[in-house]
Amino acid sequence: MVGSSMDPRARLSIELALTGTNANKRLLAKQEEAGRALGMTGAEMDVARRGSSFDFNTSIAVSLALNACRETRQRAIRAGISEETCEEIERLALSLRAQAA
Amino acid sequence: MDRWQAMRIFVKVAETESFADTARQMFMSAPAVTRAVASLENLIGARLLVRTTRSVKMTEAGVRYFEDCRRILADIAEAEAAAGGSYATPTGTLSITASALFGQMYVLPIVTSYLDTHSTMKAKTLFIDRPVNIVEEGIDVAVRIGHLPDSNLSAVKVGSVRRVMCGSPKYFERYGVPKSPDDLKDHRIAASTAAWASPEWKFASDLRVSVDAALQCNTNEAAIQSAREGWGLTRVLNYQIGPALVAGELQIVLSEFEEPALPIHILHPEGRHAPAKVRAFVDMAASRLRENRLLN
Repeated sequence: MVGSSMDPRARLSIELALTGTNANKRLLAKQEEAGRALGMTGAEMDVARRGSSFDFNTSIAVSLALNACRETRQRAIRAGISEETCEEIERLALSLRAQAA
Repeated sequence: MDRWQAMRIFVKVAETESFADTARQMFMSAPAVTRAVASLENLIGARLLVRTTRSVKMTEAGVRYFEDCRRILADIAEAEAAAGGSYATPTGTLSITASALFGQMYVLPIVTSYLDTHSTMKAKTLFIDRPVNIVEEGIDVAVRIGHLPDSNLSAVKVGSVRRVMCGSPKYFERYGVPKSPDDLKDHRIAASTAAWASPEWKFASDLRVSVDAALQCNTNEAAIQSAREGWGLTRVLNYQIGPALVAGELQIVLSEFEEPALPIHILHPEGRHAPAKVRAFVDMAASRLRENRLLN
């Protein structure tokens, strides 16, 4: 869930969504371990890798991270995600994309 | 009648607290059961059971003798099974209990795989939303959700579940998302009364909210279906909506207010002396449930 600041599960879900299933085995194992430590199930991580989430607000945050545009940002704000958190999500997405490049 | 058979009869009477039920379950006449227990009491020289018009209770000597009999009979069964080779080969009928929806969704596929693997085995399921006394009801294996009371049963943890608030994405887009449990009063609620009839819902940090559900459903499936159709929100255990979450038909809200997750255990009575049919099923079920990514 994402409110005034991002919680670790939402942050990891965004990372999983941006990585998808293209990550190497070592990174997949590391992400799996991080998810388990946060109490996420395997199915939650699988859905995050497909660009969504079991949690409504996290799915909105993931959509924004995958496709930052006026429409996804407005949808996030309508769902109660603050402007600051939207910016944080977009910054995180840019940084993760840069790391992957 | 041999002493072992008399001990078996006594144990069954003690477990069922009924001569008539024992007679029925052991395919004997009620007088034969009475005679067997009386002969045992004569042999020991102590009263084991106290009969009233309504029930049968053990005496103090009976309680101690009951525990000894169970241990001795388990040892005999193990020795016989080992000698006959059946200790390694599942035989007979396996009875399994679980809550109704968990049983249908997650245990039944394991039971049918088990029967495919062990073609001479038969199985009996009791998937029901009420507490089942597995010793009294002659159940071999139970799958339980929630914290376990202390008991002599062997327990294997196989996963955990969360109690979650959920609704359809369409509902949230239209009516908004509750930000705290107090906001639920502004939403349409479909409450399942299958296992929890109280209008007071408990959240983390002992936060309690009285919910005025516009729709009360006597089954979990009905409450879930109304949420899936976008009618309102409902609160269920996350395994009950696993496939709908994966399909994106339902989504979770208020996750930061959830109580700690509940464990899922497989239970069976005989510990390491469990017969092969139980050990084989528990091994298969533990492995399959632990691999299930909706539960782990």
